[in-house]
Formats: sequence, structure tokens, C-alpha cells
Amino acid sequence: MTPPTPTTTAPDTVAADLAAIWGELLGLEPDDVPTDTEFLRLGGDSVLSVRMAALVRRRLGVVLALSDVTVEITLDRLADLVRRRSTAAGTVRDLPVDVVRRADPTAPFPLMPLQQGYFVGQQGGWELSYESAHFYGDVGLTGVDGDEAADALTDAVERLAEHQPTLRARVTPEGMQYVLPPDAPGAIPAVRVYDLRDATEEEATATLERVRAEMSSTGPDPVHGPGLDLRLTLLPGDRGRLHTAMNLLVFDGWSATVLNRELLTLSADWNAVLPPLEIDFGDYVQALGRLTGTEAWAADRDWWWGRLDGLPQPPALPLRADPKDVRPVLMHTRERHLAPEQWAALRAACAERGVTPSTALLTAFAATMARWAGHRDLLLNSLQLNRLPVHPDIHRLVGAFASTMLIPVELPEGATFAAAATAVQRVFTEHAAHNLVSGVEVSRELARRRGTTRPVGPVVFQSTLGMDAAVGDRHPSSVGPLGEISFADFHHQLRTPQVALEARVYELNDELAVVFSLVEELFTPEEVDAAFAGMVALTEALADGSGWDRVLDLPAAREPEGDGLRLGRLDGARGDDASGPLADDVERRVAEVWEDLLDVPVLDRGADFFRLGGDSLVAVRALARMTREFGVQLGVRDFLDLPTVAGAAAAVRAARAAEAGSASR
Amino acid sequence: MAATADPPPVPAPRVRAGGGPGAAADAAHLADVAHRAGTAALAGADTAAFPALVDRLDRAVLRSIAAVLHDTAGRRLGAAWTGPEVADAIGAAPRHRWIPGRWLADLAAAGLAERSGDRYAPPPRPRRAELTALRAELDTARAGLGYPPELTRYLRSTLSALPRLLRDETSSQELLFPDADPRTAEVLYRDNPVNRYLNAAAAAVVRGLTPADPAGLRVLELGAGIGATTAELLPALAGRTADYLFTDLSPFFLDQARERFADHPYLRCERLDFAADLPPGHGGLDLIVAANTAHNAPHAGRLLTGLRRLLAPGGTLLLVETCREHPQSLTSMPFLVSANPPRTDARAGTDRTYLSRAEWREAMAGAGLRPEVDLPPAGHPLTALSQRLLTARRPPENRSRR
Amino acid sequence: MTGPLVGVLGGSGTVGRVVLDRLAGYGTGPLRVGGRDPGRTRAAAERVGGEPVAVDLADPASLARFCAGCGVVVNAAGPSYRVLDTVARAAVAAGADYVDAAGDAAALAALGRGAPAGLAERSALFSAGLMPGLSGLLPRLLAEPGPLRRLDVYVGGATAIGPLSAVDALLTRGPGFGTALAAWRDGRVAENALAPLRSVALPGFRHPVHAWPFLSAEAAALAADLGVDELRNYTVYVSENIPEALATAWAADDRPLEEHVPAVVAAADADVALDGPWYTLLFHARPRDPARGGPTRLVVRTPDSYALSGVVAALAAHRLAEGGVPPGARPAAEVLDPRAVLDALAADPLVDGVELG
Repeated sequence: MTPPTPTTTAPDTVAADLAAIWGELLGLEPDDVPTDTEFLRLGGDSVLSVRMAALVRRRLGVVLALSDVTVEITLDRLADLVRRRSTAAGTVRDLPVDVVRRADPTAPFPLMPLQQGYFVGQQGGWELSYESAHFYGDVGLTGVDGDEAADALTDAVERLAEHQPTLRARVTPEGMQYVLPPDAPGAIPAVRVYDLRDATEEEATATLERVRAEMSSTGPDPVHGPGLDLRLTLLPGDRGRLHTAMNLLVFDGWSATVLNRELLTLSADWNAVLPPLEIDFGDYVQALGRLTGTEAWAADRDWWWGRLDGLPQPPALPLRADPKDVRPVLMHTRERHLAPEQWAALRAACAERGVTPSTALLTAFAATMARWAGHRDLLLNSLQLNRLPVHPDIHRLVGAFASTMLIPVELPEGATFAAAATAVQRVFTEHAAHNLVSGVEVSRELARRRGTTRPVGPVVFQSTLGMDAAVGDRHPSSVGPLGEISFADFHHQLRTPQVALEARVYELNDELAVVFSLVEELFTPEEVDAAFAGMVALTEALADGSGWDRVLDLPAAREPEGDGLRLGRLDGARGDDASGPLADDVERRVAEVWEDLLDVPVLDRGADFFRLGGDSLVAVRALARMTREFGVQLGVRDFLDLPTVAGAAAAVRAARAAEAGSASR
Repeated sequence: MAATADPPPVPAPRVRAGGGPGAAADAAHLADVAHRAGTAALAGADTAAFPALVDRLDRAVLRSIAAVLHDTAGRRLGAAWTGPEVADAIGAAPRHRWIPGRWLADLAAAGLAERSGDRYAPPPRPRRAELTALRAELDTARAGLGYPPELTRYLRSTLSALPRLLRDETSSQELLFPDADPRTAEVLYRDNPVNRYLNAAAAAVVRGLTPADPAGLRVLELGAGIGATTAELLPALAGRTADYLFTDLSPFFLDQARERFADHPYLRCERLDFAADLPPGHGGLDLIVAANTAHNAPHAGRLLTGLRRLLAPGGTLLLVETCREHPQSLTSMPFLVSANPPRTDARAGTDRTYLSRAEWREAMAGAGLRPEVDLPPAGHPLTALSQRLLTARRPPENRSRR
Repeated sequence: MTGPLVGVLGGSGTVGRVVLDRLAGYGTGPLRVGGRDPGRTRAAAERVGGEPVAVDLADPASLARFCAGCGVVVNAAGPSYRVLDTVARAAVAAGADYVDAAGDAAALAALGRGAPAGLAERSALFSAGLMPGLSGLLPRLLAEPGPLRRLDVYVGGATAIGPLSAVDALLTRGPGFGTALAAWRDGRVAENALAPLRSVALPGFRHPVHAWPFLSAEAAALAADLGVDELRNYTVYVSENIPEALATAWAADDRPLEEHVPAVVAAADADVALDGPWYTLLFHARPRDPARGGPTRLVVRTPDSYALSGVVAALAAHRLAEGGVPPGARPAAEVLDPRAVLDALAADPLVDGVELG
């Protein structure tokens, strides 16, 4: 979700900053630069205009495409453009770290916090997790040159893999990541082609369904191969489909956009050159590692830590199953698109009210959840692009930068939607400003304080509105031998772990898409339908203007009250409250493994792994070590039910008994 | 900026103040010294392979251009094309309409297209796999010639942008200076064997100059651009230069130079469009430098005449010039030609950018300048790249010795 | 009360009063109470029905008079760095056994230099306190059922430090006392083997504490004696106040130690102000034989570490009064019976809790 505020320069200094830049380039006093005269007429030329774009980017943090900055542009129009583009770009902030190229680009480096979450989630057994967290999409192609398309795509992938190291990324079983050199075997993702040009309609459809089903449910796994799975089906009548699956472990949403764009650009033009990148994702992660421990980072950490005890509960949505007992395979969706005119109207209405479209939709979603859950103070989770602007190339990198961010929403009683949205915007901006500590770390600490191993933010809001504009240049729709891309013909599937329900809003082809992605097994379908319908109705009312001044109909209760199975209110008593000296050799050995991994004394059988300082990533390692130590297969679920020394020892004994039992049969 | 390595020690050439028969011997000696300096700067590059590699690069660019034309316009054209047909199919801007014809002519000259009248049958449309190979071929030739990888990127970006260049939707400058980063241009013009040779040779020539005025040398550089040559000559001028006037058409380059050469107080920067006119003055300059720029004057002869006026007796004109049109520049040079005012010298009525070696020598003689150094020597592999160092002197006044 | 006369020096102080009270309770005595201030000495003596005697530690004749006729002399007067071996020599010369509630390596060393002849027949027990003292004694209970792979000792909490004890604390530096950051491994001191543990949760200790590794002379001796493969000894603090005050003092080599006393005292007071005074001894044993039974953990908790050391001194004196302790000077931990001491502690009002498991 893009932050709603413009760049650090308030709108009225944009004109002054730009005048200063033009003055420098043209040898004029800033005050003497007329605002309505073309750059060319003032003495500028095309070389200077290129420099102008670079200075705008460097000083105002706004990326302008070269096609925007022609010699015919006036200062007025440039200021306009900068303001529009800056609402989509991130806030520019002075950060106390420098990114430098690592000496060895293939050296392993640690996972970012959200990557750890996905990695751990992949281990299976964690609540609401899948074997892979991945995004799958396929899109229709027409006018395909069947003889050339495969070569073009393969060539494009090769060039892209050289340009973007993350295509060659791998993750080790211990939770580190690294990049293979381009010439290493398997480094470049292979493209699978299904040539169905001579197939019958039935055969073609059957194959398509099979590919789609396979790629939706089984994503590429960077622990065992590339994180990108690319396939091309060639269909009769010069048609085709391009299938893309990306593992969220190494690619975030922004990366998917950049990757698609660059892949298509390279496919379309065999000469296309992407400007070289000065840094890569590993360099960024190393730099962020140095951020921890700086004053700025500590200040953000203290800011969050000071608020944790006062955060509301996640929406207490009524459930028809306990997430622990559910083994989901796919997330199901509800989807609706707003036509371009409606979307444009919504944008205009938002601009009028001084809120960003993302904030408005977040507020609508919060209201929907409040009604469904029965309380109006809610803890929502969100996915943030979170690319800290430590280097000008950051926005062009493919990697896993994203992080979550908890958003406490307290919907006021008896207020209009407009008032509620303004309040939400203020809260959001404030929280987003403290982004040096990732939301994943905040969530971990919150879980620790709440004494739970359940996800603390299982209801998520994700917006990528404005991202396309920020990336610049339109998506190429004509892709050389791959023909034309039909955006209307776009199928997608998403699996993110530790999420019960996620609302996603994005733009496609000038339409606004509103999607609910959820674990179907958890909720009553009629309730989901009703909630989604409410969200859509509210969104449409915002577009036609009627929804803004209406008082929001919200439950009176601020906190969850209902009983029964509800999201966020699931922690039962945690087994026995055993404490005391380590009772036997199994417990002693478990304690020693934990001591080794956590670097703290583990002297009591009631010691809780997470309270001792462990997180889910270290837990995975602990399970691996205990498995080796005791020679039994330990599951995550066994551990999480009772993550104490006594509990883990009991799990070991149970596993031994089970294996002995099956061995004796 | 990276400092240039110290040039190898070369004895200062003997230059007699007088003219006459000794002058030829002096010139030969000077050329020899300069050639040796240039060779030393080659630092073991395998120049024997250069002629073949130049040819490969030329052909790779030509075939690439043909492939781009196929991609962009092929479907709308028949089996054989004319220049204007191609231009129209792509939607070329009026001032660039002539360029596709030039491409086709060069394709035919290289034996890659069949000509009959004004129609050309292009090479067949390559398949993707062939295009990948062609890209690699271009890069291999480039690498073998000692050009940096940035040149491949630049050539490919121009090929990619060919339709937009023709339509005037983008300019060569944008491609050459992506994001106003001068590094691409720098490495193209400096960091390769032939330029290292020429710059070192030029520095050797400059080292041998004696000033007309005891206060120090007076130097003028035309179209100095990114200052690649300037940077090479300044060490040879250190400590004995009174004034170095760095000029260019664009304030962008002047700003850059002010910053870059701030340590040289005798260097000043001024805007000068030498193609339009020259500064006033008579006989004051010891050295005039024009590197890869003199061809921008509409009439070479008139330019040289004007420059002679500015030179002191015995003063030197130093030119670095490309003396042959190479197909490898076909994705950039023609667009600059379109932008130029028409030429009125030997190039009149053609689309030529450059003058040949013979034409320069003729122009020099016609302007009353005596050619001195002409490198690389005939038969040397570096001649394949067609970039030359040409110096000429304004003869000293005849003075009685007693 | 029949038995050897037990003289308690410093009987009116914190430690001394506890010694007297416990001895009276055990039925050890008669008791003689020595002190500098006649009024307080008399009051202390009256409380236990003992004989008050004025003593000036600086006056050898006064000291000799106090010790004459005693079977055991207990020194509850500090500070150790001043007393050293003075009282021990006087006691032994008078034919009495000796117990020092504090007094450690320095005192033992001083006594060893030109050892008095009486030590051939009399017993002098030093460090009859908590640490050193109980910390060297109680862990033996965990080693009784079988040899240990590793023993961890955590002793500390929040306790006020008087100025004299602050000096003692400031003096505990140097090889005689122990090595910071060291562990005992494979029969020797392993330097720089351990890092401080910050904000860790330990059984028996309130809230997360900081544990500073310090291999004391006592811990090293214990490790060697028990034959453990590894021993880790930590002093536990509730904040970084005291470690910082000590480190600052030790870093300022040129200033006399006395100048740093107020800072150390203030640091300790600040710790106590956080949550009141409390003190814990935690011992955690890892047996070599995985199948070995018996206890592997011992926790002793007290609100007042000073007073409790009086209990230990009293137990040592009582033991000496019983007779049968070999002659010579040694730490009390080498002589006392850990089981008996633990049982006595468990019953003592100054102990909040004892957990052996």
C-alpha cells in the first residue's frame, strides 16, 4: 500500500525546487525562470533535459520517465507532473546507511524478516501455511508467432537473469539466501513450452487446465530450484498463454511488476538494453543489517514497542473451523472490477477529500470487517513495499523487499466515512513513518507479549494502487513474437501464509480490481459473500460520491465480545504449566539444543522457546536440530502446541513411541 | 575522474625554429616519436586482429540494422525495398527520410543486399536464434577491438531505438548520455586501443612544442566535449602553459569541464560555435586542438584558413579525425548529419560526415598549413579503424639569421 | 549450654547478631560477645545471655584477652581487607578454633605466610558466608549421585552494600580472587570463554537479570575438587549499575579505591530501590551419565544476603564446637556437610525457599 503523503517537500516547494534546478542548468536565477516557457526556448537542449530528470530524481526523489521530460516542457507542467508522480513514490528520508557492492555477489546473506515468515511458513505445519507462498498468473496472447515465440521468451529470460540476480536466487535449508552465478547449471530458469498448435480444442483446454491447476497449487521453490516458473502454451489460431509463477519468498509484488515489464520488453525487442543496476538485493540486505543498532532504528523500535500493549485485537470474525485444524491447499477469491469511469470518479472524489484511494479503500475494508466482527477497534495487517530509498536503483531491483505493517484502526462512532478516512490516513501515515523496524519483527514481539504462537495479524489489506505510475512507462502490450497481451484475459491465484483473509486492490487496464482472498474452509460462505458485497457497495458509493458524507453504520462495541470460535480469540489453555528442574535426559538434551541456538541459559522445563527470544526461523532450526539429536521426525505443530522444554520433550517421546509402534508392525 | 597513467618517457622532439629542408626531417622525426609514444600506450593490445574485427563489427551492425528494419517495417514491404519506402513504412520524420536509403546502400556495398536500380533485396529476416547469435557476434568483435562493454550497450540501445530515432521521438544524445551520466561517452571516446594510441601520440607532439611567447603556450581547443583529449594533453602542457581556452557548443560540457579541470587555473571555458565563426585575433596561438569535431564545420577549407589566422607562426594545428565512414556508426552518425547544416566542401551534395585523409591534407595545404604528423603509419593494423592524428604547422616567418 | 566457650567478635553488627541468635538457638555456647562499643555490645550479649567484652581489634593485648578461654572464636567484624589474619592468629595462639564469616584468599594467604604453630592443632575456617561459602558447598549435593559434565552457578540479586563491603568488592580483582569472563574447562581456567548474559530469565530469580561470568578462586577449586568437565560461574545483577561502577573504578587505576566507594554503594542502593532486596543462589548440574538420577538443580532464596552469612558462620562455629574437624586453615566449604547445612537453611527464617530437584 502506498503511503498517502507526497514527498518530504510540501507541495508548495515543488515549484521552487524545480525553478532552482532549471536555474542551475540554464545559468539563470531561479526567480528569473518563467514558468510557462518551454525549456528549449530558455536555452535548454536534450542533453540538459536528461540531466534535469536526473536532478529531479536525486533531489526530489521522484522518478520521471525520459519520455515525460522533453525539451518542450514548461516549468508549470513539470511541477504538475512531479506532484502527480510523487504521490505514488515513497517518502524520501535521510537514512544513516550507505549501500555498497559486496565483494562477492554470490556469498550467502540473511533473509529479510518477511522472507523468514514465508520460509518458515513453507515448512508446513504452521497455522494457515502452504508448501509455497506464491503468486500465479496467466495472461492471453493473440497474434503469436508460434515459430519464434519460444526462442524470444527463452532469450529474454536469459538476458533478464543476467540483469536481475534475484532470478538466480536460492534459499538454503538453514534459512540463508544466495545468488548463483549466471553460468552455474540451473541458474537461469528454464522456460517450458507446450506446443498445442495442432491440438484439438478439447486437448488444448485440458492441457491449459492442467497447467493452471499445477502451477496454482505447486509453486516454484527457491530451496530446490529457481523461484520463477515460466511456461508458454501455443494454441491454434496464433493464440497463446503466458504462465508465470513467482515465489513470494524471493519476489515481492513490486518485483513482479518490474519483472513482468522487463521480461516483456526484452521479449519484444531483441536489442532492448536495460540500464545496468549498480547494486543488488544482497547489497541492500547487508546495508539494512547495518541499520540495526543505529539511533534511528532504535527510535523506531522504541516507538512501536511503546504502543504494542495498547493495540486492539484483530477482527474477531466468526469461524466455522479452527485454523489449527485446517490444511488449506488454495485460497479462494471474490473479485469485482470498477469500470474505468467509476475508478476515475473515485480517484477524483478522493483527491477532493484529501485522502488517497488506498486509504479510502482501507477504511472501507475496516468498516466491512468491523461489521462482520462486531467491534470497531481492529488490528489490521498490511503489506508494504518498504523499499527504503538508500540508492537510486532501489525501485528497479527485483527482490523481496516487502514487509508487513500492523495498522491499528479505531473507527469512530457516529462519524461520516470522510471523517473516518481522514482519521485512518493520519494513523497510517504516522505508523508508516516508523518503517525502519519491519512489521514482521513488531508482530513477533506482539505475539510474545500476548503469549501466543498464533498469527497476530491474520486479516490483511494490500494495495498496489499508484505502483504502475511510479514504475513509469506503460506495460508493453505488443510483445514481438509473443504477440499482443490481452489484459482482460488475466487469471491469477495467490497463496500467502498466516493469512486468514486478505483484501487486495490493484489497477489493471484502467480498471480498479477489488479482491478478497481467503481460506474458504474457515468461514461461512454466505457471510463472506455478504462482507464482500458490503465492501463493493461501499466502494461504489465512494465512486459515485454518495458514500462520503453518510454516517458509517458500525457496531457500538469497541472490543470483541462474542463467544464461540472467532479469529484472534483462539488460544486455549496451553497444556500443563509445568515448571521446575529438567526432569530427565530428554529434557536436558532439548534444553542444551535451545541454549546453543538461543545463546541463553535454559534451565527450567517450563521455559518457553519464544519467551526466551526465539522466533519462527530459529524454531525451524531448533526442530531440525532436535530431529537430528533424537533421530525422530518432529513436526512444527507438535512443537507449537506447547513450545516449552517439557512440551518439546513430550513431543519427542511421543514421536519415538509412534515410530516404535509402527516399526513393530 | 581516473587519473591518466604517466605516459612513457619519450624524448622531446627536436623542432627547429626555421623552415626549409630541415623541416621535413624534423616532421619525420616528430612523427616517429609520436608513433612510438602511441605504440607504447597500446600496452600489448593484439592489433593484428583489428582489421578483421572491424569488418566483423561493421557487418554485425549492418545485419542488425537489416533485422530491425524487418521487424519494424518488413511486413508492409515487398521482397525488395527502396529507401523512401522503408522511411514511409516506419514513419520517419522528413529530415531523416534519407537515412534508410543510406543503410540499404551500405548493405549492398558490403554484399549483404542485392541491388537493382534503386531497389534492394535485403538479407532474409533472421530468426530469433540467429538474432541472439548476431548480438553475441557484435559483442565479440567489440571486445576483440578493446572497446568496453558500454559500447555494446550503446550500439544495442541505438538499434533498439532506431524506429524512434527515425521518427525523431528520441535523440542520440539521450542514448549517449542516459540520465546525464557522461560515463558512456567517456568510455567510448577514450578507453580503447585506438584512442589510447592517438591520445598518446598527440601528447608526444604537444610535449615538443615551444611557445611563441616566453610566458607560456597559448592553446585553443574546439568542440572539446567531455574533455577526453583535454585530459590527455594537460599533463604534457603542465608547467609551461599560459592559457588553455576550452570551448564547446553546449553549456553542459562547459559546466562539467569547469568542475573537472578546476585544478588548472590557466584553463578557461567559453562557449564557441566554430562552425559558425571563430574568435577574432591574429597569430597568437601555439596550438589548436580539434578532436573528433573539425568535421562539424560546413567547409573544412574555410575552417582551416580561419584557424591559420589564429595560429602563431610555427604554431601547430592538431586534428583527430575519422577518415572513413564505417557502417558501425550507421545507427548514430546519420541522425547527426540530418541535424547539420549542409556541407559546402568536398562533401557537398552527399550524406558524408567525414573527409578522407587525402581531403584533409588538401585542405591543409590549401589553407597554407604544412602537414606534419599523419598517424597511424600506412599499413599499420590500426588504420583499419580509420581514426587518424593529423597535425599541421603554420610555417614560421622567414627571418635572417644574422 | 555446656561446651566450649564461643566468642563472637562484632556481635552487635548485622552478621554478628544473627550468629549469636543462631548459636543460642542451636544450644552452642556459652557465648562471649566482643565489640568496640560497650553499650551495644552489652545489649547484644544480654539478648543471648552471653558475656560482653570490650575489644579493640587494633590492640593485640585486647584481642588476646578476648580470645583467652574460648574454644571457638567467630569473627563477624570486618572489613576483611583490614582484619585479614589478625584475629585468626590471636584465636589460634589462645588455643581456639576460628571461623571467619568473610575473609577469603587474601586472609588465607596472609595466615599462610609464617603460619602460627597453633595451626598444627587448631582449625581455622574462612569464607563461612554465602559467596564464597555456600556457593562452594551446596553444589556438592548435585555431584553426590554421580560425576558432572557441567555445573552452572548463578549467585546474586539486589542487596545493599555497606561502604566497607564496597571496598571488599572493589578489591576482588586479580588472580587470587578469580578471572572475569573465564570458565573452567578440562581441568584448567579457560580465559575469555564466556560472554555476559544480558536480560536472561533464570529459575529462582525475579524478572530478567544480567549474569556476569566470573570464575572465582572458590569456583575453580570446586571444579577441580568435583572433577567436573566444565564449570560456569556467574555473578547476577538486576541492572548494569554495579558492573558499571566496578568497571569504572577498576579502569581509573590512578585513583585510590576508596574514592569509588560511594558510587558502588549508590549503585547497589539503586538496584534495591527497583524491587526491594532479594538474593538467590542457583546451581544447575548436567550429569555425565544420562541415566543418572538424583537432583540436578538447587535454588536457595533469601531477602538478606548479609544476615544469611551469619547463619552460615554460626553453622560453621557449631560444627567446630562439635569437634573432629581436621586442623589447619581452609575454606569452610571444604569442611561443612552440605546436606546438614541445606536442611538447616531450609528451616531458617532468613531463607524464603529451598528447592532441590
